[in-house]
Amino acid sequence: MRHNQALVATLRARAAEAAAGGGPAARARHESRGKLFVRERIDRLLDPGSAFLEIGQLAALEVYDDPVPSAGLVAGVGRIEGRICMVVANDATVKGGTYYPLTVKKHLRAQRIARENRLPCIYLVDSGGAFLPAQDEVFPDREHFGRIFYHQARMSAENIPQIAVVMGSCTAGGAYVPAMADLAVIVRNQGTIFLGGPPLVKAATGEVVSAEELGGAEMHTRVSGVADQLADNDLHALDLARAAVASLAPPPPSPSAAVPEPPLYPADELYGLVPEDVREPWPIRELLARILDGSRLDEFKPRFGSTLVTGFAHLWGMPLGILANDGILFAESAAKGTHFIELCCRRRLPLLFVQNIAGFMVGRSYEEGGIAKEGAKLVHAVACVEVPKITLMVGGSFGAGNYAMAGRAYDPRFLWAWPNARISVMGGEQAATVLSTVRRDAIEAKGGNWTAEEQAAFEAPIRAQYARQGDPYHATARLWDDGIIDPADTRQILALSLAATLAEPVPETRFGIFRM
Amino acid sequence: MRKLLVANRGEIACRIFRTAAAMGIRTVAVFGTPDRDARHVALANEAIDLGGESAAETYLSIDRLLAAARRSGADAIHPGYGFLSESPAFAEAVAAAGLTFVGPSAAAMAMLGSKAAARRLAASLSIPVLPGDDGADQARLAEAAQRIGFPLLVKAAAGGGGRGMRVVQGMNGLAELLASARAEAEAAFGDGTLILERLVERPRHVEVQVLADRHGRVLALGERDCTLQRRHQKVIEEAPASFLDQATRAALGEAAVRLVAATDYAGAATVEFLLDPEGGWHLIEVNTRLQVEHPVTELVTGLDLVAWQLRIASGETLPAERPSCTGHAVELRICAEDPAHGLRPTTGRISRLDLPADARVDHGLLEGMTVGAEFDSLLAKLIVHGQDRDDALAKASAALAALRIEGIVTNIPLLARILRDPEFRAQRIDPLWLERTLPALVQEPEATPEDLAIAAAAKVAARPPRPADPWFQDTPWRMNLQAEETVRFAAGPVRVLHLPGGFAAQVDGQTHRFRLSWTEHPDEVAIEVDGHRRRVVLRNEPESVLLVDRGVRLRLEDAAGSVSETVDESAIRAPLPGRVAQLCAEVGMEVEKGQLLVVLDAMKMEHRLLAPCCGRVVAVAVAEGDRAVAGQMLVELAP
Repeated sequence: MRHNQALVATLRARAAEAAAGGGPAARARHESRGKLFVRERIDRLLDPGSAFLEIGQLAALEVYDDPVPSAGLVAGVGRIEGRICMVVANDATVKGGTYYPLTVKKHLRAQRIARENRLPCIYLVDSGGAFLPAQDEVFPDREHFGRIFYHQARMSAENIPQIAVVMGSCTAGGAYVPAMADLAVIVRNQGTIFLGGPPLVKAATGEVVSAEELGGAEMHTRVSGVADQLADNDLHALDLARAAVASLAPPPPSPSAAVPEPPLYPADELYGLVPEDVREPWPIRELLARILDGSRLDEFKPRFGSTLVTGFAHLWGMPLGILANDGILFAESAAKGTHFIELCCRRRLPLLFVQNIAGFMVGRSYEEGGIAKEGAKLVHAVACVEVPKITLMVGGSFGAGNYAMAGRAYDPRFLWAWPNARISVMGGEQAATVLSTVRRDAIEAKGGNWTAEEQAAFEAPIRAQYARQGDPYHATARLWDDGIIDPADTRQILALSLAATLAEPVPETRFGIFRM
Repeated sequence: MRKLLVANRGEIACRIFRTAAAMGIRTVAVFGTPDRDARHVALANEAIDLGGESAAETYLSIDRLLAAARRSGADAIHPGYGFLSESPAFAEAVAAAGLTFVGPSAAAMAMLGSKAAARRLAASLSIPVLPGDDGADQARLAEAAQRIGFPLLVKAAAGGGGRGMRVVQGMNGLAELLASARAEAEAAFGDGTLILERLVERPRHVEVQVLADRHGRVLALGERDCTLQRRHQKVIEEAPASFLDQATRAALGEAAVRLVAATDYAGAATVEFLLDPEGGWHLIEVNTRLQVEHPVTELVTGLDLVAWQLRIASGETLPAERPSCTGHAVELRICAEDPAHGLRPTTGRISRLDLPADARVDHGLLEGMTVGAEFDSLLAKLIVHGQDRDDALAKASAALAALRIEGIVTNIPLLARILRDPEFRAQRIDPLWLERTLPALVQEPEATPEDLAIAAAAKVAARPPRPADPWFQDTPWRMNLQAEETVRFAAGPVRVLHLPGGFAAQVDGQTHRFRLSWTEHPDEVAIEVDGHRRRVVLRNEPESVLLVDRGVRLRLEDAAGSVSETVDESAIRAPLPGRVAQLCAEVGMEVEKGQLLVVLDAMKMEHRLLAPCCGRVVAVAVAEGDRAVAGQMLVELAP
């Protein structure tokens, strides 16, 4: 219990540090220009009291030489004029809001969430553009800077509104964020949009021009038409953005939900549920009892393949299907999971995957039993099913178990991790043993001798590497998930995630060939 | 008297019905369309629709009122005050219809009700009147003014309530002033006759309540101090006028009785006097009806004046002795008026009405009723009785604090401030005191950081959680972060942190800790600020928060997003290419919003470019005949 509370205390401390942005000097400079801080902007943009489902909060944590809190970009989902929207906001106090590789990745992740869930996008732009020293990691590739505008265009084409609010600089490529938006607001004497800033213009043509003349709000709203609405200040601009959202065509009505019921057991008991030793199994139903409406799970096939718990439930009134690991995956558990996914698919029920998985069972009799075939069916079903998937990592996430339980590669709409989670292709211990066995075989094949000390020296860095890379902060910093969450907030976060996926009707699923 | 029709509305109709019902007299209300659901209609045994909206179509229509009396079978009509209460024609018509008029005969009403006639009568009885002119020769008022001296007061002979009244400082502009006063009097009373009166500086207004029966008995029931006025309309009235010495009190009473007794008067009358600062007193006028402020006399005498009006009308005899007066009574007039905007009348729908338990409230209010602009702004009268003036004022304050009229702006906060005012408490007032003091009285104190913190907490706490909606819970949920939000007022931002069981609010570097719970009333909050627990009124309004904390009322405006509605329009530009056909602006000129600045001939059309705001012309960039390109700046204004 205390162990898990300590993990959460660490999480909250790191989140608070990230939320503080670029440090006191940068904040003071930002404030002296009459600008609101990025989180204040978001507060004002959202409906009063609205929750904000932030994604990638700890992105770029300890990745670069300098700290780049939240990758210099705050993104997440909230309600604006009642409408569920994606907000993507630069933090100009962090490296001038420039795009590091992970900033690009986070921006694209936010857009992907918006596109999959058809959420209107509001971009609060205050950025110096690409981080030039890392141009090879932000510019040329498919999932680099250019993809931001590709997404904007495609979303606009798909009738997902794109609204930009220019609250600072919008230079070079960044100029396309407002230019490609359906509607752009710009703040007087503060927002600027230009392809090349005054220094570049001077270098290229010798023309000397001020930033305000070159791409200020007055010019763009009156002369160029690059922006549509002129705002007096941040507050005004955000009010205009709210008004723009209010005037959007209403979304289709959400499917009807039941009256939400709190679980019968308090959420903070979750801290006492997960043992300190990651190898110690713990009962997954105890978790479900603390997040589901009325602590009720209508279990499917409870007596068969019992290491995968499947069942129907409600979360905050919203119906869903649940697949949760309660041990190693066997062929029967995989078959059951596939069957259950097909059921939910027919019923158009969103799926929640709760991962605590060491992997699939190994061994001769299991291979003979076709466990690879059964696992493949489950992976196939997870890959193809069109109902919204949400993944929650609450413990281990190892090997093919990660695939079968809708890991990142399987496009869950949201992926959240608890602070005790571990993710890697296998456990560090197993990896060390596998690698040292291979090594020993090679040495002994040449007639060599490998001492126990030599073996220990060989294995230690492998263990250390797995421990470091399997750490949830390592994962979340690289956006392998959408965020590390406080276990006590799980119900709230899953409900918000689920609500964000329900804006659009679910398309028909077409499965491929299941190997029988 | 079996059945009484009250030719009136609002609180006075309700007041009369109360007494009539207690005396076993059946009651008939009349109403116009706006009053269909009014309280006075509901209180009467029967009610007749007069079929109209305006006062002229309803409560001022003698024909319709008499038809209503016939239709309902009423045998008596009480006129209340205002409307036709001082109309001899109405009294005459009621009598001619064979009905009892609760009030004096038309002749007596004409004799005392006309200021000019009353002044002549008083002079003949050696009752002091202010130097003046009774307006016998309306053509020679200017000469009369010269004779009386300045400053003087021009008044409508037929009127009251300040209409047609003007203060004249000298001969300059007198003719125009008389003309406008005459027009106003004509419009208000159908009689443009004006009288002149010497103006007494810083006087006090004291009036004596008189009852006269049909057998020649006349009683003075003590006096009322009605000095606290605004625009010649009374706001707070007291009985007795406690600053009077016994000799003056007796002299006023005796003069009032003598004046009324000199006519063939029956019913209630009020004789109004002006007291000058030197102790002199002068008759001003006689009101031949029940006064708005009659309840203060009722509370100190224990009499029911309406009951006596009805008894007198039925021919009963007054007692021989005038009753003794005990204690002190105060009446506060609760009006639909906005103190912050020069007491202009307000309208609205009464969303909540709470009456104090320990005070008399005469009113015609119902929750849910709409107060329109058709009739007088008087909503209710709050009347209290105490052992002495201090006691009565204390009770008035307490009762006022318990009186809640929501949904409409009223003068309640202003009355509360007056009751606390040291000059008012020391009786250092005169009829113009309130007009002079109003700006200071309505000035809201500057919000303290604690006020801002409370208002911010209110804004945050007033959001009801929506259990069915995960997006809106008790707190604005933030992932892994302290739930906090910034409430932005025009006076400054407040950071509100949501803590278990309460809030912390940070303003100007200070942190206040709160607990807050809503009470049974929608806008009353039990609040604990840094351990100090109390109840405050907090109301979230569209762009502000209203806070009443320990009697101090504050309105905290939200921070406005837009700051420059007009700055953008300071440059007048050519909307399309054209020729400047006419230039009406020159540098340095002050212009009004909408004033023509430039006429531009373009595309066969004449485009008139108007000033978008008022301001001064700081630049003119073209001359007449010039060609202008689209978007070219033509004229620049400085707002």
